[in-house]
Amino acid sequence: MLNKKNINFSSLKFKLFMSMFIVLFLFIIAKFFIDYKENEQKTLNYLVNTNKTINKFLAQNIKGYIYNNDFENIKSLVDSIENPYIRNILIVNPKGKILYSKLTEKQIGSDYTLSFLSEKNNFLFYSSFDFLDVNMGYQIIEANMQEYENELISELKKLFLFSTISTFFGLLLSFILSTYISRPINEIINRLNKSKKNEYIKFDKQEIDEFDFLAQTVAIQRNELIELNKNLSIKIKEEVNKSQKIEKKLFESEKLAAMGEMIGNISHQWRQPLSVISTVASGIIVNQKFNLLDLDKIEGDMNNIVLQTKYLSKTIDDFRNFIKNTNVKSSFTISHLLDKLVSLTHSALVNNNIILIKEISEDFELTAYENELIQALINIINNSKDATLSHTEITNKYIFIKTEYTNGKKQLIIYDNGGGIKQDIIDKIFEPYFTTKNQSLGTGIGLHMTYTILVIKHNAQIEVSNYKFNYDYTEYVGAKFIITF
Amino acid sequence: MRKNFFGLILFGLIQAQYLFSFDIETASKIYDKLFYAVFEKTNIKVFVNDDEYKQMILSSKNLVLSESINMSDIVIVTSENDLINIQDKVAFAIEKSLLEKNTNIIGAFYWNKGRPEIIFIKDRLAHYNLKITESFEKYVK
Repeated sequence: MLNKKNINFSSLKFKLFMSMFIVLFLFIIAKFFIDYKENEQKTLNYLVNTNKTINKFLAQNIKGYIYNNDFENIKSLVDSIENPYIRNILIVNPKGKILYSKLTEKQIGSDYTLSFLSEKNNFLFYSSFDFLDVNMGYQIIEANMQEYENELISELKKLFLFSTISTFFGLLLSFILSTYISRPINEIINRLNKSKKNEYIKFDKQEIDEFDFLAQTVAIQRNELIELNKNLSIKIKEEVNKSQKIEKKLFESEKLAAMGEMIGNISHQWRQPLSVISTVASGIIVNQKFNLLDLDKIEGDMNNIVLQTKYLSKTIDDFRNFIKNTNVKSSFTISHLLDKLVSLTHSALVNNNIILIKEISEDFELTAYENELIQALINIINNSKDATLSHTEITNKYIFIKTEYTNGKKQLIIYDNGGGIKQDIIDKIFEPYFTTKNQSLGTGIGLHMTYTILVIKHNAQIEVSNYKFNYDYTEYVGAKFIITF
Repeated sequence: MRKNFFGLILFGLIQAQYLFSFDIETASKIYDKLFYAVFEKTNIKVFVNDDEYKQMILSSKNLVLSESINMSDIVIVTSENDLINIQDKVAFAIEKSLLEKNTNIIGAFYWNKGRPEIIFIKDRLAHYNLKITESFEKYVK
């Protein structure tokens, strides 16, 4: 964002302004010195030319007076010359005797040093009067240093004034030019800054081709981006919905699969009580045929049948409760939850010779969607069951369930002796569709479902690690799931 | 008092050179060149009646003051009176007007409105078989 109130030293406008001003300022400084030197030379040239003119004037008229020692005419001729740049005019003979001095400070007849003939003196000019190559004397002009310096100071003042005005106009010109050049780009930036998010923009045709190209390109690309964003959010929503639907279906199918497995378990669990009922009923029939019915025994048999049917009814209730969809959270103890879990998984584990060892040291209370929690835990148990079954080296297969408080937090720990999870995939096991099982055996949704239920729906945490432990004098390694509520 | 007296004498000596009506030293150099242009030799014998000009000849390097007209190479004519005893000697005038007074006068050096002028008369030079050096030919008329 460009700050309008403060000077932005990194802005294009400032840099343009400074570049132009520096160039102009250097030009002004250079011109100042060149003009000063020119003026200095001009003033000096003026003195030289003045001397030449005076010499020319005097040479034509004064030679005769010098030759004839006509001092009166020399005086009147020299005194007739007036010039502010000339301090004194002297006429000396070839030997350096002063024939006439305009200023009385130099006495006529006294010697004037002729060192100027060999030494350069910027403020003393001389010419000789010659005839037939015979030197008749010298005309010496002493420049008026004060006037010369005054002239230079006056020129310096004029130059300084000119330079100051030029600098001011340089500043103004630099500002106007930098503003003019940077205006289109600033307009583009301001327009972009002021435009609302997702607002389509259009720039008018810019005067400068490059800026016009820039503006139109920015507008096109921005509008395309907005269009893309709009479509993208719609597309993302569609994809998320689709994904959610698929996930829901997968969850449902996972649940159905669990239900199918449980039905198998139930049918297995039902065999024994049905067999008891059948045996008791068959015994009664046989006794009745042989008139051996004993009312006391019948009561006992009936009680046994009632007991078995209650067991059957409970099994049905457990299953029905599990498949029932409830959108209401309820409060229950962890032991109650684990009893149901064991009830639903017992047969599957027993059939596979897996021993489930449950240690409830802390029976804490939870408020949650009970059936969903059971589903989440069934998935972990199923994962452990599959791991222990595939780990053929071990004879005794175990799944441990423990509860405890760690740092004041309720924890449910499930671990097995199935050999653990490979370190390179351990971080991926909760990702959807990730499975190490054959495609026909696993969908890769079970543990993802567990993660979703625990972390997303119940704000709990789940960690997995490989765990080495000793049990029954044997060392085992397995996967350990820690659920923190 | 004594000091002032010597100072006055010294000032008098310094100013003495300006008592002449012309610059002796400059004039001697000019006449040196003029007469050399005519005779192309050194120690040219010059006769002149005027004391200032005598002084000028004495100041010169190449001119010799002649005691008599007969012994001289050239006579400087400063006035008409000088023409009386000039006989057939080559003469040189200091004024233009004197040129017309005598045909012996081969030329003149004079000042006109502060400017120096030199004139040599061709016929009169020829009469005396005199040839002017090339650098002075521009003054021959």
